[in-house]
Formats: sequence, structure tokens, C-alpha cells
Amino acid sequence: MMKNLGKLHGLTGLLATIVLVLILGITPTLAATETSVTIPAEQDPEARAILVNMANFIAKLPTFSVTLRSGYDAIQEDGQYIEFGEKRRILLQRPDRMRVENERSDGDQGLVLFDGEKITAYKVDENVYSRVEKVGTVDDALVYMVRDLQFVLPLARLLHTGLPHQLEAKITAISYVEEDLLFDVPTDHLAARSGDVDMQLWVAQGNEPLPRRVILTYKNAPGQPQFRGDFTNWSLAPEVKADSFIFIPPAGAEQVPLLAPVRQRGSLPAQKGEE
Amino acid sequence: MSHKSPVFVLFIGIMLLLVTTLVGMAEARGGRGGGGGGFSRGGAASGGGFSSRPAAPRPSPSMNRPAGAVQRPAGAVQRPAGAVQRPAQSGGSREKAAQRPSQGQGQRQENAGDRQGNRQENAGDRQGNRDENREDWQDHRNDAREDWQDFAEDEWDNHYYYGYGNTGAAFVTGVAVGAAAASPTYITTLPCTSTTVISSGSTTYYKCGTTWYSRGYQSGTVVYIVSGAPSGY
Repeated sequence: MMKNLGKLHGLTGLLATIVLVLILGITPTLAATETSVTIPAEQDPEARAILVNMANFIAKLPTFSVTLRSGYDAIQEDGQYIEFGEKRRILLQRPDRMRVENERSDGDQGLVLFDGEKITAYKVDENVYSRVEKVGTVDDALVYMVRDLQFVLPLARLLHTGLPHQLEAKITAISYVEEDLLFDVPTDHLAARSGDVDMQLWVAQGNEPLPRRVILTYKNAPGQPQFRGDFTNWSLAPEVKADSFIFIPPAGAEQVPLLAPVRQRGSLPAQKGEE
Repeated sequence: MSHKSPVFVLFIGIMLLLVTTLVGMAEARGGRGGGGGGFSRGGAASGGGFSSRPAAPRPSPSMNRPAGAVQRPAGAVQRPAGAVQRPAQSGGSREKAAQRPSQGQGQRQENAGDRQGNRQENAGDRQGNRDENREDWQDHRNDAREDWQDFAEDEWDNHYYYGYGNTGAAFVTGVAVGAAAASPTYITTLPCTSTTVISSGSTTYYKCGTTWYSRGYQSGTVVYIVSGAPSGY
């Protein structure tokens, strides 16, 4: 009797094990099936309208100044996340004047000037400056500086008059998160996505729909680091001094060559005929 | 002496391990460079762009040419083969003409006219081939440029990033903007601490070992360009 009972327990145990294995085996399959379902990209018309309105507003401003206090994740070789901070004071006078004073969290200071004919970059600590001819608009200078010279000018697209078109082209999904009441003015918190960057944006409500905060997540980069920026001291009628866009080299300043990094063509999408 | 040795050996071992570890940590910190405390400031998020794309490892610029561009000249090399063969016909004509030394002046003039015609025809063919090759190559370069521009116009704020940021230890080749095709080699941090600073005219020079450096500006940082010695050194 006891022997039969033992056999019964053994069979029950075996059956239970088989059922458990089946459940564990099927569950991931079901989960995988669920995740493989294509979720349509969120296109919230209200959120998109807020974004486009902000972009159009900034793109049409003739003059403005703003302070951008930013930080970004620098992921170390051992995986540790370190945030480094920067502060930039931006003065822009369309069509062809721009001044950006920048300071890093370690105290390193610099200045970039564009006067419609040339770009000047100055490093305070080393007392060196570089100069390159560039005739054109602020838009031209921005693209040249960021794309060709690889200047570090975060959120440069926000200064470009093509912002509305560029955002429309890049944004694949956008949602309205909430109305955020923690700024000095109520803001609309938006969440947008592009192919390689997720963006959160806080836009002031009212007649001046200016960005107050931006978070960019580089979702395809190792570790998915973030860039965070807070805009303060917006002024749409800033004081523009006569020498705001003129660089007068300080005593002992040395003019040095401006170097552009060699662009890594291997990182481009496949060219025609490469496939 | 012998009864102390196990404890003594253990103590020495621990001390050696501790010293080795501390030296290793110090070297690791000193070697990385970049930000304060040895932390790297670089990375994908440092540029704050609305687009992002990793850069390939840093090979020499010539190695980065698109594969299509490298393959294309092979076709261009093959094409002139036809043109190379043509002069053989010209040579044949010359041989033919050379076999007629006894023929009259009119014949020689006729032969000379034939040869001239052949040479002009061959030259025309070769020129045609060269033009065709040049057009093919130009078309390809234009295609590549348009591809690049299409990409770059859309992704112009894409800051390329290199793994875990600049270590300051590697020499990099750049392009001196405004200079005539100069591709200087530079480094973001001088490789030595004891430098000789020489101000020669309006340029400051630094010396590490036998190598001289002058300064340059690149992507918001001062870099050190490998240069010749200042005059008099």
C-alpha cells in the first residue's frame, strides 16, 4: 500500500513537473508573441501642435538671448555614469550675428562669435583663439560649425530657422504627458521620439511658447546616455552692445589654427553601390 | 627567524599587493585623462544633438573612403585598356609604312597622311575614353557627394562619438581649416609633464622628448599639433 502510494506521489510529482515546464516554456513564447505586435506610433495632434507652435515661434524671433544650463551623461569604461555640466549664454541676432559664451563645470571657459563674415572661437584659460571665414547667415554658420567643424553647441537646431521643418521631419511619434506646474509658468510636457533620440520637452504656455527644459535620450548609443538642458533668462529684446559680436584679442592672445576632425565616413549609411 | 617567517611573508605579501593595487589605480586614473579626477567627458550625449550616430573606430582617413569609391577606379583602370591596345594598330601602320621605303613621295605622303589620321583617330579615341572615365568618376563622386549631403543636411547636428570619449592619449589626424590641404597630427593632452615652452614670434612651442608641438583649436578644446622645431632649435 505504502509502495503504491509512493508510486502515486512519484507520478504526481512528475506530472506537476511536466506542467510547470510547459507553463514556463509557453509563457515566454506568449510574451514574445505579444511584444512582436507592432504598436502604432503615438501621434497626439495637440502635442504636435504645441511642438510646431514652439518651433515656429523661435524660428521667427529676430533677436533673443537665453541661458542654457545643461548636463550630460558621460559613461565611463567601467559603466559608471558621470554627469558633466555646462552653461551657455546665447545671444542671437538674425540674420547673421551670434554670440555664445560657455563655461564648463570644471571652470573651463570659451567664446564663439559669428559676425556674418567669420567665426571666431576663443579659449579663456589658454588665451588662444581661432578664426575662420564664413560668410552667410546664422543658419549657415550653425551648420558649418556643428557639422563640419564639430563644435560642441548643444541643441543647435533650436537656433536654426529650419527648426519647424526639421522637427516635423525627424519626429516619428509624440505624446502629451501632462501640464507641469513646477516652473515659473505652466508648461506643457511633451514626449517625442525620433529614429535615434527620445526627447522630452517642456514648453511654456501662453503667448511666448518657449522651451524651458529638454531631455534627450540617445537610445541607440551604448548605455542610452541622456542630455538634459534647462533654459532660463529668456529675453526677446536683449541688450545688444556695439561690440557684442566683435572679437578684440586680449593682450598676449595667440591665434592658432582651427582643426576639423576627419569625419568618420565608415559611420555613414551605406552609400550607393556598397550593398 | 624561522618561526617568524610565515607571518612576515604574509605581511610582506599583503603590503606588496596593496602597493601594486594603489599604483595600478593611480596609473589608471592618470592614463585616462579628460575630465577632472580622470573621468572621461566624452560620449554620445556630450554634443546635445537631436540625432546621434556612433563613429567607426579611428582608422586613417584614406581607409575610410567608401567602398564604392575604392572599387570605382578599378573600372576606370580597365577602360583605358582599349585605348592602350589601339596604339598597336598605329604601330602596325607604321611598320607597314616602314616596309615601303622604295615607294614614291606620293606614297610616302599618303602613308604619312594615313599615320596622321590614325594618330588623330587614336588620340581622339583615347581622349574619348579619358572623358568617359572622367565623367564616370565625376558621376560617382557627385553621387557620393549628394548621398553625403542628403545625409548631412538632415543629420547636421549629429556629433560623432568615439566609445567612451577622448582619452587624450591617441594621436589624431585633422584638417586645418583654411590652410592648403594641411592634415596635421595632433593630440589632446601633451604626453609629458616636463615641457619646454618656447615662444617664437607669435607661436608657442612645447617639447616632449624630441617632438615639438604647437597649439591648435578643435571642437572647443586646445590641442597640440606635432610640428617642426622653432627656428634656432
